[in-house]
Amino acid sequence: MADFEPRIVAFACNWCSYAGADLAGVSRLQYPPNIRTIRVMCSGRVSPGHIIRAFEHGADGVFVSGCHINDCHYGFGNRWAEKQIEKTLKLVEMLGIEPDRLKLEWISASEGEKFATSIRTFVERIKELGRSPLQR
Amino acid sequence: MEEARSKDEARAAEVASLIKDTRAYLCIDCSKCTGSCPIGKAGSVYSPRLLVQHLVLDGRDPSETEVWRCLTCGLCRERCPSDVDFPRFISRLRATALIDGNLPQTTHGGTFQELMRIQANERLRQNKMDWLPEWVNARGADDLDGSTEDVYFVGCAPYFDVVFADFDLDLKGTHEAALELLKATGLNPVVLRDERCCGHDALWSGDVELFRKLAGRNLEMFKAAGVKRLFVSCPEGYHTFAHEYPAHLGELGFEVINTVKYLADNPPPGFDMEGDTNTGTRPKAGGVVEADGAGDGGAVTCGAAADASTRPEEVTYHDSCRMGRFSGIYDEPRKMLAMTRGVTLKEMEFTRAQAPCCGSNLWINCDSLSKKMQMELLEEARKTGAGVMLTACDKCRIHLACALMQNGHVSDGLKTDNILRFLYRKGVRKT
Ligand code: SF4
Ligand code: SF4
Ligand code: SF4
Ligand code: FES
Repeated sequence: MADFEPRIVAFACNWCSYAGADLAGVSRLQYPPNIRTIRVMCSGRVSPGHIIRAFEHGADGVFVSGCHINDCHYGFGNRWAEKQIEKTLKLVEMLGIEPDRLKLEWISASEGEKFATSIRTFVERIKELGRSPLQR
Repeated sequence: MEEARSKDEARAAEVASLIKDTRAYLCIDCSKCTGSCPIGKAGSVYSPRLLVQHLVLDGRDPSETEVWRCLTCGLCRERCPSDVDFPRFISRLRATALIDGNLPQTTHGGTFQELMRIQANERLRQNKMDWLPEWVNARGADDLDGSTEDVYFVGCAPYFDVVFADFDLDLKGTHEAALELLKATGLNPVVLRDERCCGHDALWSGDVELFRKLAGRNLEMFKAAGVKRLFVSCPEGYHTFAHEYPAHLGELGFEVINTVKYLADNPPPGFDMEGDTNTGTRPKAGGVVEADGAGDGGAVTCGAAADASTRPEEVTYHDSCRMGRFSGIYDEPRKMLAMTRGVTLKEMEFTRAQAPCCGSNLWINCDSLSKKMQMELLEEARKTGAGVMLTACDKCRIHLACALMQNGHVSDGLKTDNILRFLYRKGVRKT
């Protein structure tokens, strides 16, 4: 499946990760064009439902990113996100979707480089996995 | 414009016909049920009559009414002198609100709505059955040969266990217990790995299209499996398969059996079967019904005194709406409890068709009123003095556990348990 271009939904929190993605952009760092970014106010806003919905609507992978632990602008949002993602990983697996298709990363506003590399690595992994089982 | 007009017209026509079909116009002069509606009682101005008045007399659009408020608990239907099926009315009205994109406020970030929706995907192959007892034969969608006559439907419990891990309710345990109890009666039901959500919540939320999709997938699979009897423990699932599937999709071609009902009719060894066990319950003052623990004959014989399962235990039982008012299964759980040694059933003040609502339904619209209803129900249970409140509905257990968590303490140690889990522990596993 050499020509497989994964469709990936990336949730990024407004205060850190979205700014990190912005920085990657203005620094002209290269990363694959496979992601559709959705800005949320906080990673804690992303519920298992949003992630499942993304898969149902054809995503091959879902990437969630937020501020580093203790840096969340709402205090405990990313800790909540961590817990939610842990549960979502289980739900996703029960739904017959490989858990590797869901990834959580902490990316700060100054980590443009980290944003670009994380996306590169994630896209590579999804390419290995191929199309989502719900789309095959 | 054209499209908008035809949408409006379609909606108006549907509203008119559903008012006619359900004869909800009778509500305008009535309001008898308002006093029994738990939402009004909990402190909202909500009234079924008022809603109908807004529609019929004030000419409001469905979206401009409190269309998402009703819990579809069915208490009003019990009271209605005109035989108006208000829950049915409201679920059809919701479908018309959906046309306008008027969506309910979902709880838990819409997680359960999405879990429902994704299960309609044709390619879905699930891994939710890794906890099944070893003896259970579980078959995937690609491994069906028409030979599986007795099928057990699990439902969403494995998903709920993940989302509500903090509540520690062991909802899968309900189905493990059900399967073990059915085995004890001599059955060997098969589980279908790729069974889909039954569609209950979609239907009552007005999403008939999704309901039909899910039902279609399930029926296709049941047909491929060769199902003759479908055993269901979840009251919502049972009601949906037994009543809504035939109503929406025609003759099923197989029997839908409620597990508790089946067990009451075919008690497994381990439950005392002295004569007609229904006479073994005797109502006492204050509405307390006591199980007659006497009689041997059952399989519970060895070292009864030392056996934890026969230690006297007082329980109370909550009639959930889908098990009770909707399916009419009131006696069977009580009969099973009466057949369980060492168990005394202490009834709450409002039982059977009058049982209160657990305060939350369909994963929509949960608020402080819900919490109030939940705390009140728990209080009623506590008043009986029983140590545990049993129910057949694990969603009730989730909402009730949630009420206790939010108030930060588990008041007076009142626990809830699923009746099947309880029966299994008391009658078969004996721990
Ligand atoms: S549902 Fe029945 S009891 Fe309630 S207002 Fe309408 S007619 Fe009266
Ligand atoms: S079904 Fe229950 S919540 Fe809905 S109107 Fe009737 S009594 Fe009220
Ligand atoms: S009562 Fe039920 S629906 Fe409401 S928040 Fe708790 S678990 Fe969710
Ligand atoms: S604001 Fe960035 S994770 Fe909460």
